[in-house]
Amino acid sequence: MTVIKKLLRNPTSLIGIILLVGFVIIALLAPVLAPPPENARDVYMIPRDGFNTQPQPPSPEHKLGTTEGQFDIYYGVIWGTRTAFRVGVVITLLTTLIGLTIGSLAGFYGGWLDEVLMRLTEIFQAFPFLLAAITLTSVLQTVYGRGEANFLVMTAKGLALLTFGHNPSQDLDPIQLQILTGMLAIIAFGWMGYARVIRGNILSVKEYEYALAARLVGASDMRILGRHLLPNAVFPVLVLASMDIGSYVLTFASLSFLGLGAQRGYADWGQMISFARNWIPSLADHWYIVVYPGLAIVLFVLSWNLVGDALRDILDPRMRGRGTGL
Amino acid sequence: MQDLLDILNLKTHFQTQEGTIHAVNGVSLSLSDGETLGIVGESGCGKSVTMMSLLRLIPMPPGRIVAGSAHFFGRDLLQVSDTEIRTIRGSQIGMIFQDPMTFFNPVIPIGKQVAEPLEVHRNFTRAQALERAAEMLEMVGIPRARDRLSDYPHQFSGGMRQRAMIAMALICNPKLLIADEPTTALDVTIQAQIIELVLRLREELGMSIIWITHDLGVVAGLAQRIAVMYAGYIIEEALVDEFYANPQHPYAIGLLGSLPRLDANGHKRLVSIDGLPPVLTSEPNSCPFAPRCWLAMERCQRENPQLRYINDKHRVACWVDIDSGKER
Repeated sequence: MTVIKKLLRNPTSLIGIILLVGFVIIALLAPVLAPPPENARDVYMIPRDGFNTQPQPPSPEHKLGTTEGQFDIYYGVIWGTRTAFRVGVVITLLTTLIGLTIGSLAGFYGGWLDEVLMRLTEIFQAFPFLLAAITLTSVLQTVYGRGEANFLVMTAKGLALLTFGHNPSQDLDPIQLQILTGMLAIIAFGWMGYARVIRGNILSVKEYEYALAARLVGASDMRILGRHLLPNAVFPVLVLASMDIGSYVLTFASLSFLGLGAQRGYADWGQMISFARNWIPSLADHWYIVVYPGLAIVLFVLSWNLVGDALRDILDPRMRGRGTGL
Repeated sequence: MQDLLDILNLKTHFQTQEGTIHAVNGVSLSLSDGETLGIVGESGCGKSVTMMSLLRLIPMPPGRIVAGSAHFFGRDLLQVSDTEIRTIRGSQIGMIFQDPMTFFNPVIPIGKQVAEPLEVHRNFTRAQALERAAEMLEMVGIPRARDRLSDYPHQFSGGMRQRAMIAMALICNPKLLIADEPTTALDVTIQAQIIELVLRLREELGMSIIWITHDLGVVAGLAQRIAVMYAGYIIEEALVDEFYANPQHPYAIGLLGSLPRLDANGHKRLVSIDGLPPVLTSEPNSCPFAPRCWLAMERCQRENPQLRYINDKHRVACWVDIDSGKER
């Protein structure tokens, strides 16, 4: 309660929260703000107005103009907000979960388990993140293209359920699948930081006498870890995660820009910017294809960063009274 | 009398970079139902490690229980499965510590923590457990306990936290309470209150107590029997009256000599024992106290004395007969 009050009193975090609330409203009101055409098969596919390759500047009909191939930018920016939230929140949720599990088990049990898990973490960390994600995305896309990879199909269906509320008993929508592979790749190479932070915190917290006290009471390992240690160790990870939501959206946008995330024409900011690739020499004339989706990404990432920053200041007692003037 | 706890030849080692530390070297102790035993010794003499070994709370590695048995209600605590020892901890054996400041988890309200053993062992619902926790806190003398269940540990004073710790240790009605220097961190008036409280609870709940301390004054009024530990050995064990009237081991005499006594006549200086207790990296083939002992003889340098009965209520591990100054 007090955390929220403090967040609202701090000017920087207040800006972040206002931006965030704005995005939430846009996402919720997307069907009102940009009503999809009558017979749309997938509301996330941006409606096209013809097939002209020349982007068109903002006009009464297309408020923010159109890209090459006549995709409506306004529609894409509005519906892309939903994609950004889905992608950002789900990726953060899963990376944090994986990181917390691996890191806390390693820190709690120590010994060979710690050794194995942390070496594994380092192996994953050794790959350049974006490169690894790009490679994995393209590999996954071919694998899924072939079908018949049970474990992977299960993971993708689980992820689809979480991201799109997709019914697991039905086949995966190929449009969604392409987004899921991108997300899977980012998740696979995104959890290591959390694992290391939580391991360090568990290592220090488990030496406190209350950990011994919990053992003394006869609590099981999982109870000690979950009820006594994690609540004392988890805050830095939550702060990290809230700041990372924005950057995951950015990473996903990069994948989309490279043609690996969302499909051509899908309401996704990164994908929309990729339409600008062919028009870089004449961006002065066609600024609207890159500025509007770009602005959306910048503001989205900024809002999460501001909120995360303020959260850190509030939750970290050492930072109290410094930094953002709390 | 039926023995509640029977420790036989317990040995605990720690592997360190400097070699194996022999922390507990063949400790044998027994405790009967309803009895209070005081264990006395300097810091690092193995008192706490002995008790932690009992409950299997020694961090392993580096610690290792090398040998021995500890029968509690007919079960060997050192042999039972991890699951079984968990059902014993907190429910049949309670333990309290020296430092009430760090014992409680700062992010969980006191009430929940005191009630936790009931949730773990007795399948109480949260509400029942909290109700019982309130009664227990009331019993250890925390006023308006019900209103304070949702307080966090930092809202309790040191003495109150010590009381809450006792409530938590006793909430499942354990047969045995292990108290590891529970009064050391408290100031003297609170110390007296806590001791009085434990004495009262012992009457009301009928449990046995092992009271670890380095304060000979505290155990005198509390325990029926005293065991003195040195370098991981029990070097003397006797009934309280016998021990204070007739200490046999030079180390025990030294300890008693370092205490101010109200019944001492004149202005006797307090005695101190020179040197430090040894850190044993191997089984010694001399008396571990010999280097600091003013009565050490040739035999003390080549043979470690065993704990032997000198009469039916007194055991001592020393080659020297204190009364005659000669070898036993």
